Amino acid sequence: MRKLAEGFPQAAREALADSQLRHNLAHVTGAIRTKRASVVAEVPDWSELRDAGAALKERVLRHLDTYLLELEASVQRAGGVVHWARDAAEANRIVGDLAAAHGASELVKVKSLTTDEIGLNEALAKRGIRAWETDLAELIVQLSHDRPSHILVPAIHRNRVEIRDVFRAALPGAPPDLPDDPRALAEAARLHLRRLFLEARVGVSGVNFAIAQTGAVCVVESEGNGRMCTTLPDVLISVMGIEKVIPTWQDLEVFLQLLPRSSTAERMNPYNSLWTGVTPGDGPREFHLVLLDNGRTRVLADTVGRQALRCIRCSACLNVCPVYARTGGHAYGSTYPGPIGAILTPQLTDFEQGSTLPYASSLCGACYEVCPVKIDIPQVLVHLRGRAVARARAGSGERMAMRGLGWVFERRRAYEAAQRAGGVFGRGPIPPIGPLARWSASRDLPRPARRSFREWWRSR
Amino acid sequence: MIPGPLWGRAERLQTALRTLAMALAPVLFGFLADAFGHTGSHSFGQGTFGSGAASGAPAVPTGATWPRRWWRRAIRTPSRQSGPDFPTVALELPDRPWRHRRGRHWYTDGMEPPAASVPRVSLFITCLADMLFPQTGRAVVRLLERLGVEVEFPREQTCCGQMHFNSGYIDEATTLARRFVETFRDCELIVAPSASCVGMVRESYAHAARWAGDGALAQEVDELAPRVLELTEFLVDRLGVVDVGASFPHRVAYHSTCHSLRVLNLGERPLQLLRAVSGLELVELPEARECCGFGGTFAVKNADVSTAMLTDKLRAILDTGAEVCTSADNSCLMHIGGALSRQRAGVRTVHLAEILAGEETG
Repeated sequence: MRKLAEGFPQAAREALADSQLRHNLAHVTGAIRTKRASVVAEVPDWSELRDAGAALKERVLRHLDTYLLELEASVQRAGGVVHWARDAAEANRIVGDLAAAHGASELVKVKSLTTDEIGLNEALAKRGIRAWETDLAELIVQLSHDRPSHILVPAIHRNRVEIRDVFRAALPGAPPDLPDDPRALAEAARLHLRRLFLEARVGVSGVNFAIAQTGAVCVVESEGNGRMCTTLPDVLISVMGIEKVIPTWQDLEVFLQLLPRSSTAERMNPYNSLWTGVTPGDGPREFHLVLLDNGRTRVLADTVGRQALRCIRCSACLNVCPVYARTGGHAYGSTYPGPIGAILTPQLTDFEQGSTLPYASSLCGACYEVCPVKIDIPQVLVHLRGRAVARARAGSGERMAMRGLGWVFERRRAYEAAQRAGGVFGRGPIPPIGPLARWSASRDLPRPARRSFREWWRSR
Repeated sequence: MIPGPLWGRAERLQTALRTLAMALAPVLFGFLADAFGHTGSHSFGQGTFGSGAASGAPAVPTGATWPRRWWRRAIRTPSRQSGPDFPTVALELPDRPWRHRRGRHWYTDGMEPPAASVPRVSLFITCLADMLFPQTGRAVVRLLERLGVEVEFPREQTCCGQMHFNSGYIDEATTLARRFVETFRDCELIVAPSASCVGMVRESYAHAARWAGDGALAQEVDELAPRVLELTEFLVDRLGVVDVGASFPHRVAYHSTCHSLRVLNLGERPLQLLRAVSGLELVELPEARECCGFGGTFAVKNADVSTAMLTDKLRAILDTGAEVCTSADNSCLMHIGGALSRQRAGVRTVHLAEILAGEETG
């Protein structure tokens, strides 16, 4: 979280200078974007599916209390254990205690944003427990002590030469002459992961959907590592944000159509793992579900901002975002990058993190257009800007300028006088200060007309 | 000749008297109208262009108290109840509320406006065009008048408040939204040469009203918003014109701004209009749906990202070999044009309205 203090504009400035990053990002986001558009076009009722997805999630948010209790009862009935975690520290303690109780010194993880959000790996490391990422891209990120830069493709900022170097340096058992051939890279990772899958006694996963009605938990993935993590270890711990609950089994129908097409641009995920509690003689012997709040109830209290909680983490908004496509995920300085991160992170952390993120958008609306659960991201961005302004200190230059302009615009005579003054004084040299300087750095500034439109109108 | 203070006092007195008279006259007039029964055989709102507010004005609610009832009766179109034809009381006074504004002209109740089929619009010029791009406004007027539309310009208009709203100064934006509603409330149709300002009124005013918790404003916005049209919407949907008789012998690239694309869904309208312009060679812009990076204060708050986006847009424009880049928004054009000019690219930006008004021959 190094870049947080400096804010998005500064972090973005650095990222923009990285030509390799720009190239990688443009290539990958462009490819996913095109593919997504074609698989979405195959579905004749896509807009109805989006409506259904949004409505289902909205219903869940309105009745979250009911559905969570129903989920707890269902999971317990199926032999699982439910834990409630108010914040990151509590969730980390619960997972750490469970792992310690089973004497585990290492555990395997399915790629999970929620556990990234709470910093689970770092918290476990402090207790002497090594958490191994098993998703290939997450593994690359973990081995290079990097941070994920995309929700779905965490190593989007790396190319295969860089990956080869990471593996040669840090992957246990990797040969020193490992080539940068994708097949060889995958094989090296596979050999390493196989040992882990067979030896680890504890597995940790996130949750894509949890069904209140039956207590079933769903994880979707592409590599099969998730299936290994959720079936081979004796103990399975799943950490889920409380907004991930859905009412019934049938609702999966909607989301399992929306999610893969929006995220990986596939018709179906290669692996859809669903389990309900524990089954003797099959899979883990213990199942723990950690329900995490960590700011979500605070988001729920904001009637406009709460739609961010509908998010199913597909990352379609990242792939179409012109800002993300140029800066990458690291500039956002948050677990959730891109447009969704810009509205989620400030809300989850009460503006302690990502206070500059609501401004990291030109409000072009491409994100809203593709969102499978119809989160009006531009609307929430503006709303959060409003909240940021409302809580900012009173004497800032921007505020005074905006107030002043507002005052002028409210008064026709003042407005016309300002126009005339602009027509006279606005034609001289531009003082290189503040916003004028930032505009003029790359663009010429238009000069006020000698005669405004309204003066022309009155004279005709 | 007259000392300033004295003149000021006289003016103040005059204003006070005039206000008083204005307040009382409609009540008196309403009383007279009531006393004479329901006249109302005249309904000049019908048959006029579009579905204006005046023609669709609701009947006077009976629950209102008498002064209010008279007031409303006086300032609105009379109800259309059938009844004996009574002579209408038409007072020949200038600019008073019981007279109806149509374009630049005022009509008294009961007086048929001439040529009811002439479409009339109120121009919302936008603050940006008013001050920085007046040629766009002049072009809109020239174009609309050439098409037989009567244009009026409510002088009280200033800014729609988009910059304030999108920068998070929602209270200020709400004040400007109220002002906009007050200025244009009585207009039949409002046309603006800017997709983003129209989008602001149609989509964001409701949010501003909700933010302020102002139900009355929300209701007024609901009523007004459908009558606020972007220029190409007005031309294609309302006038049903695609060929506006323009001539512009240049190679042109059209940049579909984000707000024309995703907020107003202008779709093919601007392109249809451009294709019909004589002599114009329309070239396709690659990655046309990409944002140019303007985004209002985004352009200065995140100047680096904005410039990166702009550079890609410029590359696309220059690749087409276009001579002119056009769009439905002066704000984006200001951004694109600013960079084209900085780079001495030899490509200029021209608002769509200026092309459609063009009568240049090659």
